[in-house]
Amino acid sequence: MRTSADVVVVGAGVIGAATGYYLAKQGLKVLVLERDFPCAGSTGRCIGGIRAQFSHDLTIRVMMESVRMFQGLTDELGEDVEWYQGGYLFLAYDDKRKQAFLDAIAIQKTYGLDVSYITPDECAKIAPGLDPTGLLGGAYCPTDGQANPFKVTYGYLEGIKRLGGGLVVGCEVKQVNKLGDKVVSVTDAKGDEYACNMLLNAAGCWADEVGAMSGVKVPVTADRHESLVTEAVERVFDPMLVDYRSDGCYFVQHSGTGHFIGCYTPVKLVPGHNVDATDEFITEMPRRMVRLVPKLAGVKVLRQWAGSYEMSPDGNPLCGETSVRGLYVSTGMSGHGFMFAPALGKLMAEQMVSGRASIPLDEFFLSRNFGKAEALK
Amino acid sequence: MRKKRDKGIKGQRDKVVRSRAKATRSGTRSLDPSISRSLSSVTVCRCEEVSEADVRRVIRMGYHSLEAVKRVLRTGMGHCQGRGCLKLVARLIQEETGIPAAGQRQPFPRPPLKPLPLGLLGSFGSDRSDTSDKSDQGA
Repeated sequence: MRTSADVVVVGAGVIGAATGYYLAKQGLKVLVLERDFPCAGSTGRCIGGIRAQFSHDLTIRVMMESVRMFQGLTDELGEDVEWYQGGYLFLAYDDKRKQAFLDAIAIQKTYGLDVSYITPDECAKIAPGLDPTGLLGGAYCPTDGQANPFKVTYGYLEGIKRLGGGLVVGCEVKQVNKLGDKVVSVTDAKGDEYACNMLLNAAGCWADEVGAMSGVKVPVTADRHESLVTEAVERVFDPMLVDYRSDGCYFVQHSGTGHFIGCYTPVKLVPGHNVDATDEFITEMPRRMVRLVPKLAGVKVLRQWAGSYEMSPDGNPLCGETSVRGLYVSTGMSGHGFMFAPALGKLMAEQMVSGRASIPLDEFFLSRNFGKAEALK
Repeated sequence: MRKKRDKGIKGQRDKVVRSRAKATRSGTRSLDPSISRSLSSVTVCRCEEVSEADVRRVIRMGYHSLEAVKRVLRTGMGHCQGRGCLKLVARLIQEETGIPAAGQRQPFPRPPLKPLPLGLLGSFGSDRSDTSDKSDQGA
């Protein structure tokens, strides 16, 4: 069977879905190919936080645009994406971390972000129940927020269908076909061929494998991160709490339902596509959560799971056209794909259609030199 | 049956569930309002308040697996972790698509199999704080 489209997107995670949607809005016929089911990779395993508190200039600008777009996304997609502007509160327990926050705030403020360094008392006011023991202060941005990754992704996919495009599930791309140095089609495991003018590799932490099919090196590596979710309880506080200590954690209460959802980054990274959940996490994470907010001790854990971060060498996205004409990539989100998706999807669509995005993405291009790493990973 | 013991956070659970049910009724879960709601309003997933009509509608939108339906409607993500609803959803998928219920891939069972308090689980957590400043990512 042979199908054709203007753009074929590999991967129905939030990046593929969002970019595909904004391409479809520009009048292109978009076909999203998904090996498993939508959100089967990193998107469906993320905890849904959205923030503009970063240290890299371009990341701050793109995320501020994402926050702006999330505010109107329910109307845009006709689907309640459960956007809630509860803020993000980063906690400082040592001078080094405090200084890193102050440095980042200075950069963020140059872009007009509403962010400030606040005292432990103010932290406890914003997050009632937070134990201020040992706390030096916090970096707080009230315009950061949260949304539901499933609703956002499915909303974008349904939008693509409304705009004349499509989603093919159970379609594993095995081969990228070129004519000279230009991509012309892909072939899946069943032998079906999908012809296209442009191909977007949005395969997340498998983007290296899809890249290799066309001889393009995409330097992403998968790192395992674990998460848990609790039962729903009455509203305790609004912001995502981020504790960057070596035995810290981050968690947020879901706005619509009242579940607490959170995760931490293991001290020793766990590379590879292994997404098994561990006993260590399901005992450590609760200990860390209760240490921060003791009154959560009675709240019950419903479920734990794990997922992969698709890490780039410097923690910033890998975007843009590759050495193969018509072949684009958008991956390497390093744990921030969901929050990047609306703005980066729109900007990548602009890049692909006109060769230039309204916020230039050069510093995210796959072809860049990998230098300074993001400080607020 | 759970007894309502203390007020405070846990005592408020029913209130949250009720308000969520209300949100469901007001239509926030509807993905495609163009499809009629005249289908059966029988509850398939009690934890997340999902009706037969909800499930059939999502299957008809092209989501033909337990995993995909779970991600749209949260069937299997509530208190019982799918013990109540997954068989019913599998049967509805079979009715709508002809894919045999017995052959459908089951969502992976997630620990803890029974909900347990953070305080209890955390008491088994070790206090072995590694002091090395590692790469902190995420959130």
